[in-house]
Amino acid sequence: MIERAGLIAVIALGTYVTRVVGFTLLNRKAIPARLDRALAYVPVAAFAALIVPGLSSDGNLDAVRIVAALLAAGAVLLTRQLWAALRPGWPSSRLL
Amino acid sequence: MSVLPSRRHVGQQIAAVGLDEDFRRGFIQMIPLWPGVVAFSIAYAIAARTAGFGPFEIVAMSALIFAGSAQVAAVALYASGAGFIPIVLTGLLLNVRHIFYGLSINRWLPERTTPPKPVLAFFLTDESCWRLAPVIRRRSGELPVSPGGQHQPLDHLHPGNGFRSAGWRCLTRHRANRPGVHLPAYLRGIADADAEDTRRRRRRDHRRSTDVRHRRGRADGASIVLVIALAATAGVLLDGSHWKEPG
Repeated sequence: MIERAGLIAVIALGTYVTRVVGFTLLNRKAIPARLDRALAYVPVAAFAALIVPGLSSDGNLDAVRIVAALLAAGAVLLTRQLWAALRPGWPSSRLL
Repeated sequence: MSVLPSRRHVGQQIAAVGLDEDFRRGFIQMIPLWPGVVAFSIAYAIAARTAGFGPFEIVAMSALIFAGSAQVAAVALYASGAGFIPIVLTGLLLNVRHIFYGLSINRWLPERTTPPKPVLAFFLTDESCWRLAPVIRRRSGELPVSPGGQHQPLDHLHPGNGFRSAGWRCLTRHRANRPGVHLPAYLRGIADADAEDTRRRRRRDHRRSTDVRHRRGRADGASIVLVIALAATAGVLLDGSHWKEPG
């Protein structure tokens, strides 16, 4: 059985390296224009890539989850408050 | 009755201990995500306990790794008897996205920040990236088009700025601009140098604001829809729950 403390330490170090590299890898002034524009899409791309798989169950799109997600997204768009997503999103997913 | 503390209550508590305004705002903005995070944390803790991790190790993982997906994957792989290297490499692969988060956010940060970037980097998560991106972009849109006194976005994170806008600078500029006031030569020199410095900074701010607006224009619209579609497809294809066992 592998040493758990060592495992935690190494994963923690590796995770920290991935976090800090982005802040130090490229000088802000040295970023090419195309890469600079591409980086503007990183948050929205990551958000979509992590959220959309959750709308399916067993490999098939789940209508209930999609409706709940649309309601939550609509509430956030209308109110511009993240809090608003909790109200229609979670209860509708339970009720539907 | 909500189990979550009210915004005003949390804000008052943080203000009472004298924390920075940006930290306070960021803390409050993350509160809506707590219900999901708490549920996820409980699920992780149960899985880790079942896999044989002790309470201290479970807390240490959360405190030191601070990345939910890597923690859950590590626990699951450990429980299945995987080796040291595969577990570490899986954690690294899952966290590669942080590099892009850092690159994306770093474009909007000044060279020096307080706390320094290596400290800020530790707290970089999916949620903080999503929450921070629109805030930073909105602030960048608020850059002054004409000289008006606003600073470059997040410039206040620079440790020197608090001192630059106080003390001699304020005194000399204020008095030098008042009619009928004659400053000694050495103070006049400071005031002139200060005025030139201000003009230079405003020109730089204006140049940057033009660049930011240009960049924002390109980052919006149909491109975002396309990026969402591509990223969502990639997310579905790479999602482990869709992989079928052979046979």
